[in-house]
Amino acid sequence: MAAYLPSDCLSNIFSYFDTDAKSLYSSLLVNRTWCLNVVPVLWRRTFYLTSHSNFSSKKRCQLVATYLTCMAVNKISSSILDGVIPDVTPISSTAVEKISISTFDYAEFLRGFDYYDVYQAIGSWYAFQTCDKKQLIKFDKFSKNVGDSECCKLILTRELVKYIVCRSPTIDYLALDAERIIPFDYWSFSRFPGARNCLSYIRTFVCRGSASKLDVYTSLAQWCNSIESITLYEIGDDDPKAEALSNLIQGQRKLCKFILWGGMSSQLPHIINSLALQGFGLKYLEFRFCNFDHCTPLDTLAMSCTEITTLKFIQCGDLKSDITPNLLNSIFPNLEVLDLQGTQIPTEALETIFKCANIDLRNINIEKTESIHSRIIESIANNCKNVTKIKARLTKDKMSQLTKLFQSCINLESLTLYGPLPDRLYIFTQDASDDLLINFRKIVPATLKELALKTDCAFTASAIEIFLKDCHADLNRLEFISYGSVWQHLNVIKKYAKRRGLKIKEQVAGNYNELLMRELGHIIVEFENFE
Amino acid sequence: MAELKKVKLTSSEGTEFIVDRKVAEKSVLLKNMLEDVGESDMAIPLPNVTGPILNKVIDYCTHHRDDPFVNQEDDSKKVSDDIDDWDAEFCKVDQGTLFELILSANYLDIKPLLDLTCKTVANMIKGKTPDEIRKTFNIINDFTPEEEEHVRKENEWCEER
Repeated sequence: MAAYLPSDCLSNIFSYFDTDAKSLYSSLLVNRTWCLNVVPVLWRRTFYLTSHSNFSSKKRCQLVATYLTCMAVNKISSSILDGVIPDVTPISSTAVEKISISTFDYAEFLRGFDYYDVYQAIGSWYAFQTCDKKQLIKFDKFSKNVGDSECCKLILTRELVKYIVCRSPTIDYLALDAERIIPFDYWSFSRFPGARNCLSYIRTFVCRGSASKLDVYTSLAQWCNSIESITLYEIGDDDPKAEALSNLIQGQRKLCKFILWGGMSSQLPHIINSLALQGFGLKYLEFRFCNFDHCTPLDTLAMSCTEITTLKFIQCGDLKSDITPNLLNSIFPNLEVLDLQGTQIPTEALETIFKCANIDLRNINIEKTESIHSRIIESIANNCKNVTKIKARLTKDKMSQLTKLFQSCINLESLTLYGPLPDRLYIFTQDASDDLLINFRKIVPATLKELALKTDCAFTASAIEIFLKDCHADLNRLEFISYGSVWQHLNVIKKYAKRRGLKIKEQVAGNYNELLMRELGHIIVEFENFE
Repeated sequence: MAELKKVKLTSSEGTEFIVDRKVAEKSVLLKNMLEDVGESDMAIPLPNVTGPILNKVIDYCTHHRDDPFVNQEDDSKKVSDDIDDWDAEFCKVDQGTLFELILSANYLDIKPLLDLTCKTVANMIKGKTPDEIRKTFNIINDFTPEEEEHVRKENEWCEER
């Protein structure tokens, strides 16, 4: 009966083995019909599979050998390739022991690749060839430097990618590597025959490195309009104002995810404006190590990108912003994740975001934002009732806001507070600190799993004991600054674990500045349930 | 409360089944038909589905009548070990019935049922050798020895490491 299932049903079954090469290999050898339906699944992302799973270099060598055989056997008329394809017959005859025909043209089935993975696979193949066999490959067509094995690997990588983009009807995932290791000359695909056809369907585009990218942006901007996700590690120094990249962004109809590492202040205004023009479609925005000195990204994006669910500015320094609640336009009303790790924005702007967010805002990281005069935690408590994870900067004198937070946000699972560590005169305020913690013991939400208080507030073992005794939450991670012997604190924690039937998975304890403050320590404990 | 609208379906042997319209509409084929035809008492003939299989399909659609429509992205990773207890029990049938269910889900265009049954078959394949798979599903190997050798050689990169 299984033999008579139509192709689309068989394909559906095999699609569950996307990354299970073993099951696909077995299915491939069952019979002809199964083979025909397995090959498109198995050969869809071969380079990804062999690079990211536990495949040996010998296996990658065998994969490349099959591709090179196809390249040699499925002769493509020289007019298509303009006479640039190397004569690889000697490659295949040495590599796969004289297979005269290939059952499939396997390159047809590839739907996505990372240039670097192809290069690595070629490297594995090249390493397995003897010197005599390497000399049979006609590298001299492309380079006089044939004695340089690095150059030979780059040529082979380029020719294989050329072959792939010529044979595959659709590439939907493309990752390029513009680091020094693969010079621009070897991956600039805009002149590869067939590239326009197959690359016009790209949905995910990733580009690493700081080398020239202008040609890539220009080509893709002409060819593609359905890219859904763009990830860039540096924009490239040949697009100083990011105009080419902005064109690429603006030309996409379905862009929903954009990630950028390392944008410069001269490039970012164009990028932000082009993203703002994308408007409703954008859901995920992430900037890391970007310099926003010449623009106000939040203000520009808030006006048009109303569907954003994830907004991340990681290590971007100080961001200027004047956003205020606006009756006509809600500011990021669908936000679910706000991550400002290492980035500071004015507290007024933060309060505006919290006021406009609906119940979906669940994950907030504002660990860099100093809230000297504001009551930012109370703002979260008042506006974001469903929040589950908070990382914030908070000093002891502002900690009373936590009472409101614990009472309002009853789904809170993780709370991490950062701040300056306690100073030497700490002893005079010890009772007040302990009282703070003791007062929280009955209002901490039962959902809380992680509590980390890394700020100017240390606690005695007895305060910890009272807190743990009455707290309803089943904590699986606790971190705090201890006052007094750390061993007393650890004993208290051990008693808690025993009482709750928990196993201590990991514990780190010690004095963080032994010479000056012998009495202060740093305690981190993780718990897990017994099996 | 408004009376629930009913739909008549006829299996290949002519057995008539009366189901709630909401249940029938789990099938995209039937949903489109009902939208095209509008209000009608005429039974919808399903010549490709036998009575016992149609009965099972109706059981499935009734149990999942309130499930939201999930439009799974093609690219999202598909896993086969997320079958809930009711669905797992539903799929405890002989192999002939399981494959009839796949064909019916495909014909009636009921994606969640098609995914469930395909997942169940995928779990039956997982970890087996080609010979074991052939034995499990009673499949004849129609490769010539040369063809099989070629395919094996070209794909040896994914042979067990």
